[in-house]
Amino acid sequence: MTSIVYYFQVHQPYRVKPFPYDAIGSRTDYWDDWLNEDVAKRVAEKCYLPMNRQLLRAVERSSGAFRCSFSVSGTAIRQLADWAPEALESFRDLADSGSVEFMCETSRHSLAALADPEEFRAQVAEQRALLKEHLGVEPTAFRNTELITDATVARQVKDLGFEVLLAEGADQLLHGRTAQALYGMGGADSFPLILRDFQLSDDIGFRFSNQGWEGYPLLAPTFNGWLESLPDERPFVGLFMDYETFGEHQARATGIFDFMDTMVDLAVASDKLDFATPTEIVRRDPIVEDLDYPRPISWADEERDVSAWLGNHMQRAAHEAIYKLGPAARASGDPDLLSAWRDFTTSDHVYYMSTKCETDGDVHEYFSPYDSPHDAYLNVMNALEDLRRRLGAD
Amino acid sequence: MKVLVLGWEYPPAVAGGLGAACHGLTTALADRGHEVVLCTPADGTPRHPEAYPGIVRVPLGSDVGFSPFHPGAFLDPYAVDPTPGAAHERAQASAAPAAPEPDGGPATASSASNHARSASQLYGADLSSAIQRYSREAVGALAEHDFDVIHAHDWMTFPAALRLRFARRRPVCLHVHSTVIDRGGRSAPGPVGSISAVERAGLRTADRVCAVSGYTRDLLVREYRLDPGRVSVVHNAAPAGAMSPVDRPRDPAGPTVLFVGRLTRQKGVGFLIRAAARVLESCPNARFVVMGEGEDRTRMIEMAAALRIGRRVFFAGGVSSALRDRAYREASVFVLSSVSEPFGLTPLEALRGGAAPVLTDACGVREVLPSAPVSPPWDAAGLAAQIVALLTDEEQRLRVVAKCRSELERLTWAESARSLEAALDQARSTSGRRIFG
Repeated sequence: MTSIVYYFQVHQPYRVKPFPYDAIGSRTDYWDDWLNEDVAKRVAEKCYLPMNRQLLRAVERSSGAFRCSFSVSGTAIRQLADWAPEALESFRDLADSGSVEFMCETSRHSLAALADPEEFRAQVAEQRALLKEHLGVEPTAFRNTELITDATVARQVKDLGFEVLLAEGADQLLHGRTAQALYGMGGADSFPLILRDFQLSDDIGFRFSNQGWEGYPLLAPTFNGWLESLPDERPFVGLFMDYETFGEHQARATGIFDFMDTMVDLAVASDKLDFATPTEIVRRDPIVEDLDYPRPISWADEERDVSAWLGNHMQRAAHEAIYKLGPAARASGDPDLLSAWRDFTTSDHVYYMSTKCETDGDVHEYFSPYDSPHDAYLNVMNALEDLRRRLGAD
Repeated sequence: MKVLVLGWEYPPAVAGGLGAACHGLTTALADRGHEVVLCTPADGTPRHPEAYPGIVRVPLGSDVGFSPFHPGAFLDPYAVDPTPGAAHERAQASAAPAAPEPDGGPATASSASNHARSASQLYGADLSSAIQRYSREAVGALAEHDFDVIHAHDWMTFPAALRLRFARRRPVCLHVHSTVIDRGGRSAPGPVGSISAVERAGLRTADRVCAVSGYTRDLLVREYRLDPGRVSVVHNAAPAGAMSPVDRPRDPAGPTVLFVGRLTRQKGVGFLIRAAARVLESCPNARFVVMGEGEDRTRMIEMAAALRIGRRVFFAGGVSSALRDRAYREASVFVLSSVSEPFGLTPLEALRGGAAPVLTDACGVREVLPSAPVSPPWDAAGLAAQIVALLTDEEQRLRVVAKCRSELERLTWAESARSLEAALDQARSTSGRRIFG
């Protein structure tokens, strides 16, 4: 029996309004709320609402045998509360069903775990409060922004009382070992890690509608056949992906909704497959061995490292400029300024500044509201300079 | 005397040196009692201001054509590469959605985009055929006009001037505001060869040559082997405008160091950014503002980030003239970092706003602002030291501004026209019979 561990990531950033040089010192509205509202409403309508409804029906149809897990960033929760409350309500229905686990992350989907441990703790606390308030849950599992993980991250997560951390099953980490087993983090008291099977996850999240792919068109019986043919001793398989895969990255017309519906039914009926959530896995399975992280590993780009966010000089300059304001923002005593600063820590802002080419560059461009990475950089640096002045920081 | 002026540009077409100089010199000649016949390209009204007493206008050549708007062109009249091939490539690039140079055009500034549109009309895809039309029509269109001497501004009008010289047996004085060598250097790709051939042949044939600065005269002597005795220096005058008060309250966000110009190799922005890193070591709250667009934009942004001074260097892009003038008033220091600048109008504009100029030694404007601090462009430490000296000593900065402003007050078009008059007289003394030179 192999357990399917679905984890869906829900995230929307607060995108920055065009902020030219002459706006510094004369404007305080940093966020492009027209764009942000449009995107939130569109994604809620095309993805969150229909897919949540479908998953809730699957839970009911299977009498709770279907399980999955989510992480919803704090910025996404706030946007849905403001602009698509019925979508937030439908997440709450999933939480209430008892079959869906909601995990914790940083409230601003930030890189604070790498850059600023104090801020990391503050954002985890803020996220716990948001999850409690809006979804009524107290999370026990953790996923860091974009699955960025190393021993330092794991130690911070362990110290905050979580039971398990989700991570990428990168080749450079596993060196040929399977991702379908429970590992421990070396250098962090074997803190449990549930890894993503990037091959099978990307078959759904990335390649599903790619007509040039040899597996196209992917049908549920084929996919479940792959899962059923896994060796018996594999306790679980981690299928982690952006939730926006359903209806947004992969349009409804690709058949992605029907694929998921059928796939779930076939798996529920199969005597070789079942479903589990991360916390269920960690309480059930033993750790097979420790992994040594040579560097932080993420689920982004071919490199699976942090180069999607900190790969070029502009990204590192902006990252440095953002976190340099942290102490002043926290000491300001002004909740609006602090919250504005925290929204700049959202990793998407530096992601838009990536100058990578080819496939990964296309992905960056798909998500970016800017014409070029350089425009993204200048825009954020201008807005940060304005915030710096309002904070009276160096 | 009766002067035939051949100009390619006449205000208010394009902000920058050539149009302003042609306008200033020509009206000053008329003011001094000379009869002037002025020929400019025929199209478009913006370049044809109201009649000026003593100046007869003769449009030459039909419409010079229109090519797609090129952002930032208004900052430099020669921004648009004057070859049909290059312009065509650019048109394609701007039509494609993934143009490598982001279209950061001055959308907020209608006057700026007018300038840019005029620039692309004047220096667009059809430039070489427009020059041919202009030259072809010159002899016929001017058959009814009499003149003693021909005064031609920059290489676009040189072919027409030489035709008229031959057809009418009148001496020619060619006026150089900028050479292709300044703009590209000899190693630049593109049609440097063909334009420099026009420049070289014209200048060696002309009866007299005016250079916008001693710097340009030396360059012409060095590169085109001109006899220095045949080249007169006629400096530009200061741009019109009132002086802003300098004793203003200092910006609490820190002193500003300003650059205005196209982001091209000629303007040496990279040297300024390297100097900025050193300045920030001793003046950590200084800010550097870079105004303008150009093909070096992305490289400059990345350079500032790589030097870890991204937080202190701001790229404002192409801005309206109002915003630029405000920046002049707010800046403590204005840097002209060009590696080769025939004259350099921006430090004079900045002085009006109250910014102290720091110049490189490869520019013409330093000859008229002897009190301005100077450094070689490639010497980051030297450039930084000059900037730091002004940022850390406000009294010294005010002294430099005051001295430079008094130097600037002496720069008038009437004064320039006097030097030009002498050059035109010298051209006439050769009676249009010079052959080698």
